[in-house]
Amino acid sequence: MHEQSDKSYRELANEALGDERLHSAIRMIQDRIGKGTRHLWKTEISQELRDKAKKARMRTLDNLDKVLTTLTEKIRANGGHVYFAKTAEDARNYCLKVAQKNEVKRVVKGKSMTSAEIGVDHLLEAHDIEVVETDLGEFIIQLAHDAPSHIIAPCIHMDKQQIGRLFEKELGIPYSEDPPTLTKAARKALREKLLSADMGISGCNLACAETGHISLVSNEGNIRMSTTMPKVHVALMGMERVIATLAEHDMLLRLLTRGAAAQKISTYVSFLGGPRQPGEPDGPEEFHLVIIDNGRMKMLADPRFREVLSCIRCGSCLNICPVYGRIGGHAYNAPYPGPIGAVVMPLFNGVNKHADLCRGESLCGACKDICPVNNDLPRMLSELRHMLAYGDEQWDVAPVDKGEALAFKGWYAAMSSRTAYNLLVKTGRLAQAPFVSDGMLKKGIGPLGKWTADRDFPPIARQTFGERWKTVHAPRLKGDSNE
Amino acid sequence: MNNAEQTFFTRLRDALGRNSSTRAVREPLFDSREPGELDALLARTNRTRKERLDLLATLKEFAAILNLRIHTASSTDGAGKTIAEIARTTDTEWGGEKRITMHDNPLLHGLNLEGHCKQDGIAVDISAIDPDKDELTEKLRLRHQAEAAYMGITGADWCAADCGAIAVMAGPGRGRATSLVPSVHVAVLTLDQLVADLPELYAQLENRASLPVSFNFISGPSKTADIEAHMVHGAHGPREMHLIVITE
Repeated sequence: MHEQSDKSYRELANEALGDERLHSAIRMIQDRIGKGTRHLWKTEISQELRDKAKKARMRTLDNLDKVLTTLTEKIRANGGHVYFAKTAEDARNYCLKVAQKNEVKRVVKGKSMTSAEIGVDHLLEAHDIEVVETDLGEFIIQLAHDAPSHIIAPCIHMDKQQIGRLFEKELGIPYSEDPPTLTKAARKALREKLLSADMGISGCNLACAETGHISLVSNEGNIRMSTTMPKVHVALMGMERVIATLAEHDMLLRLLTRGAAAQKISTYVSFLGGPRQPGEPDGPEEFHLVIIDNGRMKMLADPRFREVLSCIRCGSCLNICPVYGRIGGHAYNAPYPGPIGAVVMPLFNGVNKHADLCRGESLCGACKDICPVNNDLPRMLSELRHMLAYGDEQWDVAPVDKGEALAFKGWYAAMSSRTAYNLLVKTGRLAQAPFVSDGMLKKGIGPLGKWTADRDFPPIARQTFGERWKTVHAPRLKGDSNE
Repeated sequence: MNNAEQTFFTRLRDALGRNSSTRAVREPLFDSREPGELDALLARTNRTRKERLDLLATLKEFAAILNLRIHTASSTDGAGKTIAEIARTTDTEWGGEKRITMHDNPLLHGLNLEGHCKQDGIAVDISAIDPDKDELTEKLRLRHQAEAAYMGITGADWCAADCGAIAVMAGPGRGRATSLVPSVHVAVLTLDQLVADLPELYAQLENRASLPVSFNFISGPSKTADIEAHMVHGAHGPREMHLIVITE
């Protein structure tokens, strides 16, 4: 799974914390879309519908073998190909094989996070196949050799002046910072690519097993172009992105567009279930659906994490998360940013490796409240932190800090014994003395140092409440009762 | 089923605990409606003319937000005149002569568009394959036709009034590019094709004997807000969309 930077989470987050422009861009998205979505959940979409949608998602996951079998049969009956990929490597190799078999020179892509997950671009480019992102935001990112920072607004971290200079240099147009002018320049450049490409790669928002279609949402029309005009269409789909029936599709589509952009519906919703049929004037001659495991099987098997597969990738958790709001998408340094990324990246790629992601979130619960399918991300973040603290065999997690675990064990022992606790308080009071100034601990040692680097810590009081009780309050009460 | 696929499903059943469990799962997986729910949704669409006109009012209100332009015509011929007027006053985006590409659909043939456009020198081409000719050669011809057209005209199977979405089924004579590649998309439908919302529209889809391999919901012109969240119409698809509702 590709990463965009060599820097650590801490370094990237620190950089973002000082980036005022980034904050105002994210604030705009969070104020408009995040709050808009929350408003829709209170007004036109009932909690009952969200509960029903979650139930449908979980029922599909519990019967994923049957649902995927039905989807596959229907698509094959229409002349489409379905390939099951165990790993990211299997999936990208399959894409390359299809491209080579069809002598593809240029691939156009509709925005797909799964394609970033499997890292298909680099492989195709290494085989001299041009890969063009066609979503405007993704196209800008690609031109700038940058990385997307938001699921649905990939280039919110760039301003129109930056984009203007980029287009001046890369597209050879006169400098402009007028969004309609810039959009028109990209429309023209991309139209040529879209109409001359041999193969289109898309993701899949929701597949409908009953009817045998994948479905894709877009506002720009680039996804329709990429899946209609080239002679080959390859759709990449995480194995969980399927639902059983049209009735469920109705429900989940309404939640998806509202969660993603507080929209009633996106401009385009495309249903595709195979190649062009006889007599049809257009459409791809070949249709391939790649159904990808790449670690999802393990999430499915674990009752603690099966729920996370019910995610419909709307990105609403990014639009509400206070941590994402401060550090932006780049700090997550992963194909899936934000609260959902903080849960799935460790599960995809190693909990120890992505320890910072699940420890960086605040567990405030905003992501859970806004999630259209009620995903309990805070619960799963806690599960991950528990693994990091105590280790987990199933997920091959080593305890991060044995000293910390030991310290808490010691604390537990001290808290359970009056004598030990009293002793600890007394020694602590003596030991802290050299570090206290103006009545506060300002320079802690060991793990406390990280806290006191930014904030003061209150020292152990001269007298604990228990001690005061004995010397001050209890005698007074006694006096009262004597009167 | 090849080996990789068999292994995939074996692992999947393991992950679901199916192989070890003797409990048979007998869930009505592909029947997610409550009893009578679909019939009730279908029955909702039996509307009086007055109720349909109310839906049209709802549609007009919401379409303004989408920048989707709604026109009403009292007859099919009148709709043809409206479209000819739009064609006359719209400039081509990429230069070249003014050509229209149109779905092969009985309602659209009734527009008499060719007649209405003749005086302005605008040609109307039909996006259908000639069954007597080689299909792939025809496909190429129709692709050039779509790329050369500045306006594409389609029918609509249904339109959901509360969100402005039309459903367009693909099929012979119903090219997907017609509503996508030209700069302007004009869709034509009759008042009885209006439904209230997406649940009603999905019920219509469910009620069809079969669905085509490709269909689209379209609600307004192509749009993007990727540059500083500034809304711009005409990203990749049509920059303008008109919906003509025939009320006769």
